[in-house]
Amino acid sequence: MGEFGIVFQNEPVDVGEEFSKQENHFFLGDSIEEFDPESASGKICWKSLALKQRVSYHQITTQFEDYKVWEDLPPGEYEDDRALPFDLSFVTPRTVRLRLSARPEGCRGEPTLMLVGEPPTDDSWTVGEEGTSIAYRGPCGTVIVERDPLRFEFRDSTGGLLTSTHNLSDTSGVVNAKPTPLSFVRNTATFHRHIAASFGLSPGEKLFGCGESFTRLDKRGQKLVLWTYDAYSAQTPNMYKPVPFFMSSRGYGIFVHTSTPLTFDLGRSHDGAAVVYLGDDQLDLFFFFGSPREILSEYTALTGRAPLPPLWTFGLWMGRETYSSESEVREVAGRLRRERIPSDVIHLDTGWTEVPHRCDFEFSPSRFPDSEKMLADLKESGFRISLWQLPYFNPKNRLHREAIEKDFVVLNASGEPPVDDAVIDLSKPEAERWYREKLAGLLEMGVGIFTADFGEAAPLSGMYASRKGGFHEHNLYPLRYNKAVAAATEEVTGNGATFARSAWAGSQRYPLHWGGDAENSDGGMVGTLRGGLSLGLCGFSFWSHFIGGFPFTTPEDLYRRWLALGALTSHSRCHGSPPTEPWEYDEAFVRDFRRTVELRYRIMPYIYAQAALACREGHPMLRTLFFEYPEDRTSWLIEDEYLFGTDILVAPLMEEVSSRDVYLPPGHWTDYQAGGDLRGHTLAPSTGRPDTGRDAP
Amino acid sequence: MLLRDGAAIPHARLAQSTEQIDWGEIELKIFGAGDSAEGYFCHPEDDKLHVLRLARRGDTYELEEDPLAGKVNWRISTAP
Repeated sequence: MGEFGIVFQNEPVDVGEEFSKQENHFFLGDSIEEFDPESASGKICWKSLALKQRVSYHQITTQFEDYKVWEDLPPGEYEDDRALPFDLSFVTPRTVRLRLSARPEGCRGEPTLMLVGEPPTDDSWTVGEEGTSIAYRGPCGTVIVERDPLRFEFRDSTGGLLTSTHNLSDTSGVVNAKPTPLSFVRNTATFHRHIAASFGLSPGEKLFGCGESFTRLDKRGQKLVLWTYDAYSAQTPNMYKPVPFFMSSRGYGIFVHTSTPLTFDLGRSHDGAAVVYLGDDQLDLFFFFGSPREILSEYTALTGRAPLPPLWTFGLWMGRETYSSESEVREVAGRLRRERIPSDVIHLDTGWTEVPHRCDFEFSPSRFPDSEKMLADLKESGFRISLWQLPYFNPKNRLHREAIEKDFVVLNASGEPPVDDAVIDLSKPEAERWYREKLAGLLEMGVGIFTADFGEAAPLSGMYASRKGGFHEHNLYPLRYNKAVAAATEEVTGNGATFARSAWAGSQRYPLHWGGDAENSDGGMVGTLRGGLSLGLCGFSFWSHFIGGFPFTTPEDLYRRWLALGALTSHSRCHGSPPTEPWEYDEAFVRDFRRTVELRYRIMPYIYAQAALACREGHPMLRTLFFEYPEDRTSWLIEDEYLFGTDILVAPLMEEVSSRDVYLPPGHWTDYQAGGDLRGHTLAPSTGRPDTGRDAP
Repeated sequence: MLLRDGAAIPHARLAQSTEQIDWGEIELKIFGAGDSAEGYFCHPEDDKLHVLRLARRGDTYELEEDPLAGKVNWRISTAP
């Protein structure tokens, strides 16, 4: 068994488990030992405690009790309680930064890829002492620092409590270890320190975000392990794109600025608290005040917003696993035009290289004898080509040895690749440049965009050129990967659009992303939508999915329904196991397929304008109802409908039925096909089909 | 697929690829029957985002001002 109890390579690391191990040493936030209100910095006294067993009527539980270091040592050599630094800073009228450290050196404060720059300082906040507490008041909220017992309170502009840290002194139940209070733990084996940031939850409070999470949209009651992972599914808690950010229905949001693994226990272990367990030994937390729209604009001001992708990316993408020859690609392109199916991109998956799946960045000379001419001809007829690739080389790939010899791969502490594949160390500038040159050569040939597959498996046991280990680099790898592909593409083509699967906080700056390998099932479809909505609430403006699901042939009815969802998504891509081309089904399907895609092309001016608007605000194109209607309590409950931009409400058919009920948010609504005036706050029937029911003129 | 009341949704004539879209001929379809409508438009030539505000004039709507200054031929219609 490896570090953190890992049995399988790349298994998610749940640092929350460290907080239930009796052998570990705990330090609980107790009081403010020293504090300068003007600089908003000081020291927190962390009380030394241990988890001890208690038995009651043959049931054993654990709770915190006093802990003493070895008493033979002279007094003061090893302190029981620790006074460690913390500070508050005020970024904007809506954003406050709280930093606290589990080490005497304080927070490192080094720049990271997650932030677009050093956060600004806002001078609209005032400070005042109020009894034993210090209050920082801004135009949108108040932060109160209570000295003894320690507590950080966050209040809205009217003084209403949004949340506060949950501390040992707040214990209201029999067992003082539940919920986990604000604390840090020292791992007995490694002496790593991990922090638990604990915040009280209110009755009825709902929580959203944490990345592309496929489980129920309201994360209250769930535990999410934030570890980038090849999920193979849209129906499990695993995520290709975890993001350490969430927002609350009470009007606040939290971003935890770290790349170490995190576990968000959002009222799962105890309904009264949201506990963020960090792998890190420092907490760098941004707290946002406002509505969902305001919170997301604040968060994306810190971590970045997407540039507007080129217009052609908004057209239909056609692909399958996999087109394998020039003649096949030309035939698909020709057939799309003959069938009058509007389309802009053809994707070549694992079959474009000489040995399928073995990406060496060269077209197969035997099956793509004149790839450059093929690219030029297709562009002439309105098609861009997307190429599949990945940042790992399996041992049979000729680049495996080359990358190792050049010292461009992740190595372990013994100087060997920690896994069979050679994983490009994208924290090493020379390695990143070498990789970008491989991509640039293809772009110069005429390739339009890369599908940036994988990126979720940077080895935990790796030592990276950044001088950090996999514990810090694993989750950061997707962001480095997204950035490298976008930079290579922008350098040659003038735009940085990619089509990526893995992501971390900040990856929204490098669109596009897609939802991975969903099941070809109703469950896969509904989970995919939840994932997209959840990711959108983390600042990703653009997101796509494989229409119909990935691993198996899509049943016709499912494909028809999923296409309607896909046509009203920021980016529409048909991909998966063959067949994906509509003519491989039947004529009626081709007709329905055409009508649905035609609708997308007719409203392309709406889509493009909404895309530009989303970029400007840092908002998602696919958004939950509550994002637009936060005052409407029912809108917070809906997870199988969405708004496509500001004006279009979409209610996909999630199972094989001909109609469904649609919840209409406040206001009046018009059915695009049937017309009429529908009053909001009600359920209305809908066919779930976006097409106009007639052929194009 | 439902449309918010007061939305002005820009439509293009059908094209087989996005580069064939005629951005000089845009239909603004108005949903609802209120006194005003609003939408957005972004011409790919310069990627500038414009707000379109329309006011009801009798049975139809008119742009309060044309932010594209004649670059686009707007055809305004109302949804059923």
